[in-house]
Order: sequence, then structure tokens, then C-alpha cells
Amino acid sequence: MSDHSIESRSASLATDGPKPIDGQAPLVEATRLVKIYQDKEHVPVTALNEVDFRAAPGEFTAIAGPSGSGKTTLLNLIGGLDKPTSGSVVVAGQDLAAMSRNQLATFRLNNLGFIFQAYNLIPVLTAEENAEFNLLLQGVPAHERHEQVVREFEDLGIDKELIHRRPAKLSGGQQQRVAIARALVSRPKLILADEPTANLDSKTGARLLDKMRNLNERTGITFLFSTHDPMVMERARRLVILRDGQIAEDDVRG
Amino acid sequence: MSILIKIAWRNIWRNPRRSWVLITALAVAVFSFLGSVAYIDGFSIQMIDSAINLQGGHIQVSGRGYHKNPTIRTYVPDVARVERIIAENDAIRYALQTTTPGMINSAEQASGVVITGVDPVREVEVSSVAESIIEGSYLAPEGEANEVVMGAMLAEQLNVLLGEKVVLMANDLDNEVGAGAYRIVGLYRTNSSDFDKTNVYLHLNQARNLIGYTAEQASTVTLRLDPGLDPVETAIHLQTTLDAADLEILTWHERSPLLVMMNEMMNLANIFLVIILFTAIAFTLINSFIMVIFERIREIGIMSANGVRPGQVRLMLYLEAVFIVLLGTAVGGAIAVVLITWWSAVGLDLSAFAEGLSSFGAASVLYPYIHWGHILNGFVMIFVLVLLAVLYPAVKASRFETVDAINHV
Ligand SMILES: Nc1ncnc2c1ncn2[C@@H]1O[C@H](COP(=O)(O)OP(=O)(O)O)[C@@H](O)[C@H]1O
Ligand SMILES: [Mg+2]
Repeated sequence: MSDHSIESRSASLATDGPKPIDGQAPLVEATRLVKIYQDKEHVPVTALNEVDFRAAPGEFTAIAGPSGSGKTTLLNLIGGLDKPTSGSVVVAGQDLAAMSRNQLATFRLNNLGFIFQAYNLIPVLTAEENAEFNLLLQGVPAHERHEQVVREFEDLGIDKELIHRRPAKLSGGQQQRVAIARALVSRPKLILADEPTANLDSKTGARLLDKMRNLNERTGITFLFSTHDPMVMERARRLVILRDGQIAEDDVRG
Repeated sequence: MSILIKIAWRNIWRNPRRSWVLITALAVAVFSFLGSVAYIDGFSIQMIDSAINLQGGHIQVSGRGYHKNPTIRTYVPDVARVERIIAENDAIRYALQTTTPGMINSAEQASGVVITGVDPVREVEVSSVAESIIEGSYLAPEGEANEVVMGAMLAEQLNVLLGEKVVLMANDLDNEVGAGAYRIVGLYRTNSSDFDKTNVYLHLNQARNLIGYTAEQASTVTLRLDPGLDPVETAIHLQTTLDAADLEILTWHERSPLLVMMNEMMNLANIFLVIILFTAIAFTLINSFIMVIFERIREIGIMSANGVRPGQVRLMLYLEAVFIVLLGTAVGGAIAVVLITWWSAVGLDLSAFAEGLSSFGAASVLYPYIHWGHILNGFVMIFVLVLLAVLYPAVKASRFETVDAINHV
């Protein structure tokens, strides 16, 4: 690890084990995670190589690194969307490996929010219906749903007249806001956002990031981003750098 | 749950052309199914009706062994007692007959016939021969005149006209040949040409005289039941109340096993029709649902990431299939109701093939009939077939790995 930058030297010690997190129980606890894919020629590709990663409740953390370094893979494993080749993932005290597909689905519904790079929304549902999707699955009554969605939309600056539009009639930035609203509205413990600003112009991206940081401060919802967008890294309070499937740097800022 | 319904419904209209193709195919199949069921049911009802109306009612009481070997030596001995017991049930109408094989002779021709003696007043309640008179009239209610009623076709064959006389001959109980001259008072025409060519009717007492029966004897007692009275149960009940070892009590099912078999075969044909029609539909459905899930792979992944369970993905696709089937059924059903209603008013004229049908006892004009039980069975089968068809794509969709689905663009 010859390319360690000076400012991350102290933090880089943490790659040897979980970060001390003020005595709090970690929200995410990934231990010795290995993920090996088979590529098209059936050659094994190691996307994650013995990664230990912990996150405390309330973090606002960016996982950065070059393309192909394993960011998406790490988020997917933490979100229970994929299974590791070896190692374990414990989220909110639950060992994901021990759960069935149904249990995982319910776990995600009640604890996690996802924001992907693009095309996050269900095409046949309106903006409002997309945003309340998780609440609907949770069986939240209609008036509560509506209230919460309207509040979230206001907060995220989504125009009232957009609420009955379907995704195809929304701009990329508007779609992404609706996706964020959906992830937030059910107040999950953890939001996993995989390059959420990659398809947005920088102004829109910056505004949404500020909004999310603001929400993180207000509500304590934990955010984990994967990104190579400097705007995201600037705003993160902890920056984890992945390189070749390993954590190269782990830097906590103010 | 309701969100899944909403998504399923709206998904149908994402590719309206594809959905309409499916709906139209289903509508055509449903319509063909309903039409053919209605005609088959109409056909068998007409056949059964004619079996009941012309040949012995719902239940027939006779001497034991008469049905297998109908001779004048096998008869109902104590007719008054049988009549008294049957008359106890208001929902049963009945009439006595004597029946014997015999000869009919005109000046030019002779023919073998079945000579049946009837009480005209009672007979009209159990048989439709009186209603089938096309020339002249039925036997007079009163009186013992030497009257005969015969099929118009037989009269043609014998070259006799209404009002002319014919001679009937038959053996009596003592094996003596008896004969008498009778005036033709009525000519009838039923749906069955065979029937018309072989059955002639006299007054009951004259027929008794011809074959040497007393007033206490008859060949058969024909029973007609009001709707709601089950023939089989009624026959069983009569068996105990009549309590006579020398009597035979048969329902039309027992008397016409061929008819029952034919009826069952037609119902079987119906089932095959449903299977053939809807297997074709099922393949179309499988095809388009496989296209559908690959088009929607990413959003299925998004839903799954957000906590939709595999079973809910399946349910969503099932709901979509059910909606399409309901739409197809509604369209096909609506067309069928209109056309069948119209057809059952005008009938389907099969006179070109009537000769053949007529010998089955079916009419040359066929009237479709809506038998709800058969239609319900058909729909249950349609739904089972459709749900089986969608099973494969639905299971496939619910087994997508969430990550792969999300990465799919
Ligand atoms: N489904 C897959 N099949 C094969 N290889 C994969 C698959 N997903 C990711 N990889 C490989 O794993 C490595 C890490 O990928 P990823 O986690 O997507 O990186 P990042 O998000 O940092 O760009 C890359 O080399 C990538 O090619
Ligand atoms: Mg990535």
C-alpha cells in the first residue's frame, strides 16, 4: 500500500479491523467478505477480497474507488441483494446469510432503502405511487402514506404538479428525487445509494446530496454511498476508498 | 396487495397491441367454446326430450322383463292398484298403454308397426304425439270409435289419406290373430322419422280387445314428472311403495343407455374442445409472458430490492394473466350471449342433414341451450389451463437474482 496519502494514514490502520465507533453497536458489520464472480469465459474475478467493514448508526459514508474496485458489490452484499462467496454480513444485528429469500425481502422492506444510479422507478406507477411503494408494501394506511409522501416531496423540492406523472414524463433529476423520496419515506435504518448522482448534472446532484446530508443530520438515518463523484466525497463524513477489492483507505472527517 | 393489482392491471396496457391480440384470441376461444357447448347441450336436450316425450316418459312401469323382451305376455296385472299408488303424488302425471307388434294394411301396402292403445285424455299429459299432429286431430277424448292416428310418413308409404280406412292385425294372448278396420283421424310428424314410420295409436279399450287384455291389464304405465322431481329418486320410491316383484320400474336413463352414453360422449367432446382451444391459447400466453418478464426484468429487480417477495412477483404476473382472461372472457362471453340468444330464438336449420339426425331422435332445427353447469366447468378448466401456462414465466420471474435483475438494462 505504497500509495497511501498522508491525511489518511492514521485512518488506514482501521483496515486491519473494525473501526471503533464510540462504543455503539455497529449497524453494518461485514467480516472478511469475499466475492468472486465468474466472467463470461468462466474465469474467476475477485471483486472483494477479505473486506472488513463496519458502519455505525448515523453515518454518512462514501465508498469511493476506481471503476471495478468493488463498490457496487460491497453495497449489494450489505443490502442482501447478493450473497458473498465467503465472509459474513450482519445488518441491524441480523445475519443476512441465515435468512431465506422471503425473510431478506421483508428485512429490506423494513430496514433498508435503495437508490440506484438510474431507472429506479416502476414505469406504470405515478411519482406519488412510486414514492409510497414501500409504505404500501408495509400496509401503511392511505392518509398517512399521502401525508408522508407529500412532506417528503416538499422537502426534496418535487413540484406538486409532478405527483401524478409517470416516470417517463419526469426528467432524470426528478426521477432520482422520487427514488430518494421512496427510500426515505419509510424511514429505514440504512440507505444504500449506488452512484446516485452519476446521471445527474452537478447542480442537481449537489442539491440532492445536501438534502440527504441534511436529512441524515435531522433523522439519523445512515447513508452509504458508492461513488466516484468528488461532490459526494466532499460531503461525506467518512470516506472509504476501495482498490482492487480491498479497503485502501478509511478516513473519518468532521 | 392492492399495489400489485394496480401494477398488474396497468402492465396490461403498456403494450396494448399485444394484450388485445391475447384478449381477442381468448374471446374467440371462449365464444367457440360457449357456442359449441350450447349447441351440444341443445342437441342432447332435444334428444332426451324426444326420448321422454315419445318413448316412455321419465319413468315407465311395466311387467318384469318387458323392457328386454316386450311381448304382450308381459304386462302390468293389477293396473288399478298401480294407478292408485302413483296418483298419490300430485307432481306425477301418468297414462296407461297397451303395446303390441302388428301389421297395418292399406289397399295397396302392408307394413309392420307397433300398435299402442292409449287413453287420449291422459296420454296428452305424458306424450307429445298429440302435439305433433299436422293433419286432422288426435284420438277423440270420448267414445270408442274405430280411430287410428299414425305418422304422416307411414301414411305416405301406405299411400293412404286422412279419413281413409286401414286394417290392423295382431296376435292376442291366445295366439289368435285379431283384426279390425280403423279410420285415420290424425297424422303426426315428430323429429324422428323412424318413430313416425312405426307407431300407430288406437283407443285403449280397442287395443285391449285386439290383444285380449282385460281392463285390469296394461303393457305400460308412463310417468311424467314435474320439474324438480328427480326421476331416479322417484323410481326408487315407487319401487318400495309398489312393492311388486312382477313389476319393472325404469327411468329413461335405464331405458336408453345409448342416449346416456351419447350424452356423456358429447360432454367429453366438450372437454376436449376446451383443452384443444385453450392449449393453443396457453402457448400464446406463455410466449407473451416470457417476453413480458424479460422486458420488465429491471423493474422486477427494483421491486425485489424494495422488499417485494418472490411470491408477490408471481402473484403480480398471475393477476395480469387473470385480468387478460377475464377481459377475453367478457368480450367472448358478451358476443356469445347475444348470438346464442338469437340462435335459440331462430334455431339452426340442419334440414340438409336432417335425415341422419332424425333417426337419432333429434330435430332438424337445432336450438342451443345454456347449461350453466357445463359452462362453469369449462371456465374452471380455462382458468386452470391459463394459470398452468403462466406458471413457468411467473416462477422464472420470481427466481431472478435481484442483483442480476437490477444490472439488466
Ligand atoms: N455479475 C458479474 N459478473 C462478473 N463479474 C462481475 C459482475 N459484477 C461485477 N463484476 C466484476 O467485479 C468487479 C467489481 O465490480 P463492481 O462491484 O461493480 O465495481 P464498481 O462498482 O466499483 O465499479 C469488476 O471487475 C467487475 O467486472
Ligand atoms: Mg458500480
